Amino acid sequence: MNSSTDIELMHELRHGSEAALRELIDRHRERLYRLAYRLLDDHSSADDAVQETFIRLWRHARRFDPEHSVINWLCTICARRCYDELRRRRRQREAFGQMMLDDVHPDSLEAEELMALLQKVTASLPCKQRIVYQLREIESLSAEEVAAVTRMSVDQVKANLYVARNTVREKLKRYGI
Amino acid sequence: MEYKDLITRVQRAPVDVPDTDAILDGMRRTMHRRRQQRLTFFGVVMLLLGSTMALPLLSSPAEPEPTLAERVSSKLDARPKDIPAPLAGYRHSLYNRQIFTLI
Repeated sequence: MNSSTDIELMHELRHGSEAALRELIDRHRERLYRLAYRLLDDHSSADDAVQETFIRLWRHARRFDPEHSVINWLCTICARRCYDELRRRRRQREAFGQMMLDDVHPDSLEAEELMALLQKVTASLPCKQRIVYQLREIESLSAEEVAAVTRMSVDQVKANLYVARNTVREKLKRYGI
Repeated sequence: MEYKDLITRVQRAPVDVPDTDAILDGMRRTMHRRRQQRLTFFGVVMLLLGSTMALPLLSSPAEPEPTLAERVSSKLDARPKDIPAPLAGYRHSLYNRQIFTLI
């Protein structure tokens, strides 16, 4: 395990160190993958999003501002990629008139099933609300960080979160939650 | 179950995360594929540019532009020889004017 800080690794990465890239992937892959998987609800798409995030890290390491945290920068790249993917899916769904909501068993209490339930419920939210809800409510990012990721104002983030949370709670009532 | 409990459990739910080597392999494959796509794109562009530039060279050379002297002499040769006497001066001045316009 490398004892260097993320900023030191970023410095090495700027000089083309593959070892630094490997270490950064090792440190942050789990958080990024969880974020991508919870947003996209699909392992293959989550794989693509995480790979794309690290490709950008490798190619654009020079653009990183050392004043910020590396994980937040990576979360921003990954969340934007997921946001684009969600918008693309939404357009496809509109084009083909498909519905995403399926029947979910309300009495399943396993963590994975609860996650699936929440994903089904949030899938019907507009893209912006979904990503704000995911980042703020599940990933526990601050409103300012979510605003930076989604390119919204903090007030817009709060408004979207308020609406999304109410919608989710309303839908979860059907399952006794 | 309370809403807060659901969120907490979802936050802790296990997710099968790919290992570092799998991510690195995927990155290499993606970068290789994009490089191939870029090369193919540039290849097609170069082929199109090359064929556009080569076409005029392959076609027959263009007729050279006649020189001024050639144009003047051809006009003079075209002058009618059997003009009735009363019109000859007028027709000749007409041809002369055309020659001056050419010059």
